[in-house]
Amino acid sequence: MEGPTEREMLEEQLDFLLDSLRDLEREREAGDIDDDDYRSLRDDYVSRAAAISHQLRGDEIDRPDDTPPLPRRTWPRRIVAVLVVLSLAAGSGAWVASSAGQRLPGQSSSGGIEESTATRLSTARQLNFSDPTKAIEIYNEVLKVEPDNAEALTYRAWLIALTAREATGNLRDVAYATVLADLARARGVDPGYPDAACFLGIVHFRFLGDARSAKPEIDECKAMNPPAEVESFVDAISAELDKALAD
Amino acid sequence: MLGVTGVAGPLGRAALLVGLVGAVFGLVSAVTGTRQSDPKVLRLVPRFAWLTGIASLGAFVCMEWAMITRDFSLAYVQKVGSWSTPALYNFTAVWSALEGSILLWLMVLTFLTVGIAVKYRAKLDDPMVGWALATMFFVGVFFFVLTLGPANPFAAGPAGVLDGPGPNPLLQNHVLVVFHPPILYLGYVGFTVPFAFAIGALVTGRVGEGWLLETRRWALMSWGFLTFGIILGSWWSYEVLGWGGVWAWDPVENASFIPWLTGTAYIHSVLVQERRGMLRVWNLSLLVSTFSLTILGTFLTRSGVLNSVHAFSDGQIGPFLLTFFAVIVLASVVLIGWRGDLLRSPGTIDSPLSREGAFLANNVLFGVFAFVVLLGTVFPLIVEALQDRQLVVGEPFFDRLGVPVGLTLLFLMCVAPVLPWRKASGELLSQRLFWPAWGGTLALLVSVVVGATGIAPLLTFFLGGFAGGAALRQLALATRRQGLRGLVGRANGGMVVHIGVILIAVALAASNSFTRSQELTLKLDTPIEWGGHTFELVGFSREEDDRQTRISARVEVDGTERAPAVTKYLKMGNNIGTPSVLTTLTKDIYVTLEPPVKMDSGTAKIKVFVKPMIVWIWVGGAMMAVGTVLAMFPGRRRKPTDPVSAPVPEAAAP
Repeated sequence: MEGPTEREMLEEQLDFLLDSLRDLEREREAGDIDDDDYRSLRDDYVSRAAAISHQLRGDEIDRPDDTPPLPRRTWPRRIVAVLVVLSLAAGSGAWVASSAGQRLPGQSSSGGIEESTATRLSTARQLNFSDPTKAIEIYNEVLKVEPDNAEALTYRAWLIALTAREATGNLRDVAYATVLADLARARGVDPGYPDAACFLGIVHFRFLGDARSAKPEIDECKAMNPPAEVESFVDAISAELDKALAD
Repeated sequence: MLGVTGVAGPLGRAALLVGLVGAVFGLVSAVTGTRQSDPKVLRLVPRFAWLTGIASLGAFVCMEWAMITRDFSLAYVQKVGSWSTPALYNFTAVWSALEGSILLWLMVLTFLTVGIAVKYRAKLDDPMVGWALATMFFVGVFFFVLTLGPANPFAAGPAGVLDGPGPNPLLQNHVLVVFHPPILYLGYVGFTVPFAFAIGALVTGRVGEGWLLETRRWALMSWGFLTFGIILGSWWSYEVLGWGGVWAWDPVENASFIPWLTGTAYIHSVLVQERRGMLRVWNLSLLVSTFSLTILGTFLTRSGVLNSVHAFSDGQIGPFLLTFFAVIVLASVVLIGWRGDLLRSPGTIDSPLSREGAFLANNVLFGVFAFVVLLGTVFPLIVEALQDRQLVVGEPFFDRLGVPVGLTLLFLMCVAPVLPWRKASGELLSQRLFWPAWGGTLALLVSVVVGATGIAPLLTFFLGGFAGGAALRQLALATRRQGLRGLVGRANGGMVVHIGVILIAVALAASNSFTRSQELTLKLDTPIEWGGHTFELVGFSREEDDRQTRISARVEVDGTERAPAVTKYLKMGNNIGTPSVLTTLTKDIYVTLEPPVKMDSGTAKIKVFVKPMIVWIWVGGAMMAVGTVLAMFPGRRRKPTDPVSAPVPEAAAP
């Protein structure tokens, strides 16, 4: 596909510059442009138009000696430009990689709206069994905003209790002390919340071997009609608890 | 039943087929007519443009008809239609999912093609116009193929379906669904026009400044629609999503923001090419980038590759869009490379302290910002494709980038409007910056007096006052000379846009830095004080119909009753919160009702945000829209569509 001849291009350039000069006069007349801008642009247009006219008048398409050649990029400049762009790209890549984190279910791949406590708790509930560490992190975030959230206190305590089963010695004692304190606090905050009582009973009996302390908690839990998934834990130990107390 | 059903599908498919044929013939006649300079063939081009426009309009009307009559023979109506959806949201349901939104896109595109064909009907023999129209038809062919293939809105659905779920609950919760998507599409699709002329310029080799003048107003119009569409989207997000924010760096938001950044860079740098003949390759690259980024954004939004608040995550459209994106980029790069010698600029920047120097700095910032936002958006997708790991690039990454870039751009907005072309002297600058600098100082003092703290917000308020002073100075000079007529024209309309941007920047800085929020548990008739405001639960109300169950908590905020609500959309099963926003000039009190709502308990858990200056974001958006309209008027310049090769009147010739 052929492009325009150089003469046609020069003519188009000249027309453009002449029109631009007319625009400039109108803009100055209208007050859209100040005197400094006007002078500098007019000088620029006139010098470019004069150079092109010179070429066209002589019908000489080869550039005359007095017309400045079009600037050419030198190789060192190109290499520097490429290096700058590559460095920028590499730096940005490293930065974004270091800023990325694990995506949770339902989360968008970038940004994301600030979630309400209800949404956070819902996410944490889904992770209770699949990723308890992440779930504990979310409960911690909820408790930062709402220190008396009964659900967050209860389930964080329950997940810590499950994790602490593997621990020994002082660490285990400290963990269970924290668990019991949080569960008791959850009960205090919301006495009608059955899960806290249920887990308190389970922790006393299963993890600390204290049937006597567990019994009233389990009874209270059952009386409050706990949710099905918690009730299944309670039913599983109820008979054992009665037997232990009878012994 | 509302009448004839079952005809929309065949009629719609027929209309799309006719449109495809029209687009193919339009493409062929534009190319052959231009190559052979055959006026008879070229005269056919506008007719084919009209044919594609009428066909796409016909298809759109068929789709609306199918939706209104609840024609459940169509899979698309089964997906987004429902007998229980109210008329307004049923109308907008057409663009509430993949296939319908592509149909809307197509309709806008074909009517832009008609617009170009009509506007340049006397200049069809100009090869640049011919190639531009061929490009428009080429893009049209692609979108017709999409609507007849992977995104066919008229595909038949399974038999026996009598009702559907209706549109996504978020798309039937606020009236802005009527305006936000079409306006955004006008912006996206509008950039096809300057892109088409850029391709025309490259093919014909007429890469001087002439083609810019042809497309100046189209580019500005598209940018204006994109800007307004993004602002409306933020408003919608704020009013509907209930998280109290206006921008979340969600991938779909980013998909609209990235072309906006390159488009904004273009409408600045194009001035340098018009005035000084420089940045030719850069401007062409920006236009190509902006158009291809709209296609990439469409891929991200509609291919199902990402999760987002409002992505349409289904369909087999991804490979088509990605291939088209690759073709566009490759063809453009090849053309720019081919015309490399012609694209060398005849001039250079004389001094960095000049208007063109400031525009170049502005472009570097916009370019880097666009690149890094794009990287942050696609990085998780690349990692997932290569390593099957699901990552998120969170809000802090984008904020850490956005704050310094935004502050630097504000600084440029202080200085650039007062800089002359070519070179500025220190004396001139100090004289012109004197009053704007005092504006910045005053803004800083007021901010400190009202209790603002923190380096970034205080710097924003100072630079906002400074940049506002610079813009007002130019407007004052122009109106002093010409009265209100001085507000018209690109330079001064642009200053009105700047003031809008400054308002948005200041409001964002204030709301992001000084928002307070708290979750409160309210008991009936028991006022709670928080943040200097009183909140009292005075009751509940429950509305129920066959579409939704809506529970509102009646909460008195400083004695004014508000009603944040939670709506359960029965067919979807989703709980959607509807915040209640009490707006004043200085702050919004934003209240959401947190599920689960237990009306019997006599308590309600609410989340309250006190957000300063939010209303100024919307005022700033409106000012940007007004400024864009003012800038589109030609002022005292020649009509932008006048041919640059028109004979110069003798009297005016030097």
